[in-house]
Amino acid sequence: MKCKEVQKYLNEYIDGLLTADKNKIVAEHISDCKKCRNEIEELVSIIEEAKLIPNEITPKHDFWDKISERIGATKLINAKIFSLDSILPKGNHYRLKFIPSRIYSGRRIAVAGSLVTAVIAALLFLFFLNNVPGQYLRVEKLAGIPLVGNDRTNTNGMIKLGDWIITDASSEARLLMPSVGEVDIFPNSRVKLIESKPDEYRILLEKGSIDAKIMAPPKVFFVETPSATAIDLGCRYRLEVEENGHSLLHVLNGKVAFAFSGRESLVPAGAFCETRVSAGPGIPYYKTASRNLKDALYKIDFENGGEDQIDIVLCEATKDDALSLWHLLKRSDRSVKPQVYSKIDEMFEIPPEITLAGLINGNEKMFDDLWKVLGIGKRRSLL
Amino acid sequence: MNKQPVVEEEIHLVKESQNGNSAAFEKLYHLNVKRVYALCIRITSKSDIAEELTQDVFVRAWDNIKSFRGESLFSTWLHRLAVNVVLVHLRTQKRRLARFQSLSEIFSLRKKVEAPTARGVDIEKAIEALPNKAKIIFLLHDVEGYKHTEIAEMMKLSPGTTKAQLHRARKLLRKALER
Repeated sequence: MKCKEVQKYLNEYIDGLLTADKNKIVAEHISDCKKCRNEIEELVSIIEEAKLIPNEITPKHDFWDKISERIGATKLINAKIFSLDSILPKGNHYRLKFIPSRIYSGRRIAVAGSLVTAVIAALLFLFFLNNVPGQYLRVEKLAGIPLVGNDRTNTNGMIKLGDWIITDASSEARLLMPSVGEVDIFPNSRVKLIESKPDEYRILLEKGSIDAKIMAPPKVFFVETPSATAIDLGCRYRLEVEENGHSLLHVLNGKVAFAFSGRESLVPAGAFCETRVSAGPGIPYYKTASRNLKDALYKIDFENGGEDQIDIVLCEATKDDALSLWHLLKRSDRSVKPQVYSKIDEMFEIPPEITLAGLINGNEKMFDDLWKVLGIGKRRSLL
Repeated sequence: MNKQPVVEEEIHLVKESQNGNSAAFEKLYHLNVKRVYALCIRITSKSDIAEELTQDVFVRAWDNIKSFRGESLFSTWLHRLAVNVVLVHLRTQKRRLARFQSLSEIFSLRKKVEAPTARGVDIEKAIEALPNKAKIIFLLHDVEGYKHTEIAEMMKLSPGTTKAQLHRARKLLRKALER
């Protein structure tokens, strides 16, 4: 056997996984081959060193309090289940599995009847809750064991106003809103239901990520984050909130308004929008924008970037960046607006009825018309 | 050292926990948390994720402790549970990263990236730098002592694949450590 072939078997040879025949062939080869012998020695020394790696590491924090809190919820659930046992008379003959053979007893028929009635009532109650908007909303488990309201659920659960859906590192959940749409809640997220009326559904995404698929009319579904509110305008989008409250919106279909304290960004399909706590939403952009343009927008939005950054945007912008230029025109200082207007006019030839003076004065209709002229939002949906 | 009293104590604590005694479960937690955390941090390489996963492991253990029939040591059962929790996390994370790739890219660009240092590379750092699958298989086989059949079952791979990945991991480590 040649070295190349032997080397394929070295690991199995070391681990003692070769058949007797192959083991003998490899052993004979390495007794004559210094190169393969060295290789074995090196591999063995790595394996020996790996065995010395301590198999215990002390974590920086003690988690027992958190675990105790979480298993407390289980105890409550178990307590509810056990309470059923406690209300039934003692003795095996009352257990459900024995009912068929002893069903002739009138008292037992009454007990069984009561149980059946209770089960039907519970099912009707759940059906009612599931189909009446504004009261409870259904939550499906997608992975792991998310915390839904007060219960960690292996299947599905219900939440009411004020309840949280909390996913850990290995769980995911889906919030269902009748006639409105659904929201997938990804791992390590905290979501609270803060409004649930037929004409307004509102959740708080404190941290983590969601994927919202909304079919309701515009301005029915809202997501509050620590740094802005996402107002659905009929669309699908993904929203991620970091621990520090900063967030990032990516719209896949339709359009979303991202607003905070009088500052609003309109984000169409394919565009991204970042927010920062106490600064609100930044200027949206498409992924195709140059890195320099994105960096300059970031500095303008969140780091008080001045004219030098605006120059970078105007220099780097292409027709594909009309969305960013439209927002820049809308929210920049009066002194800067003429430069931005000229840049847009250079690329798109703004119709004479949309005047610089009107835009400087914040004429909403002119901004709406300019949006159409620039063809913003006519990009293909990403779905 | 005679391990028998430790084992007896573990059996007693498990029985108590199975009867709903959370104080007994707390003792099991303190006896095992370092080993579970070590597994989580080595595979994920992130202390915040490892801390959350460690908590998940113990919550899951509490939920399922009645299904523990004493066919192995509790610590062995718990460790296996921990491996499963971490692997599920990685699978979920992979799906999530695929969905959020563009978002993560943007956030990561905002953060300063630390350049890897060439000096002071020891075996733990070299393991950390291995490709994910090879790293997990190396850790489970050479550090934690699982067999290929067990790893293959947990990772839903064939034993042939786990052997090939272990071979790859050892080869890369040898290169990284320049022996």
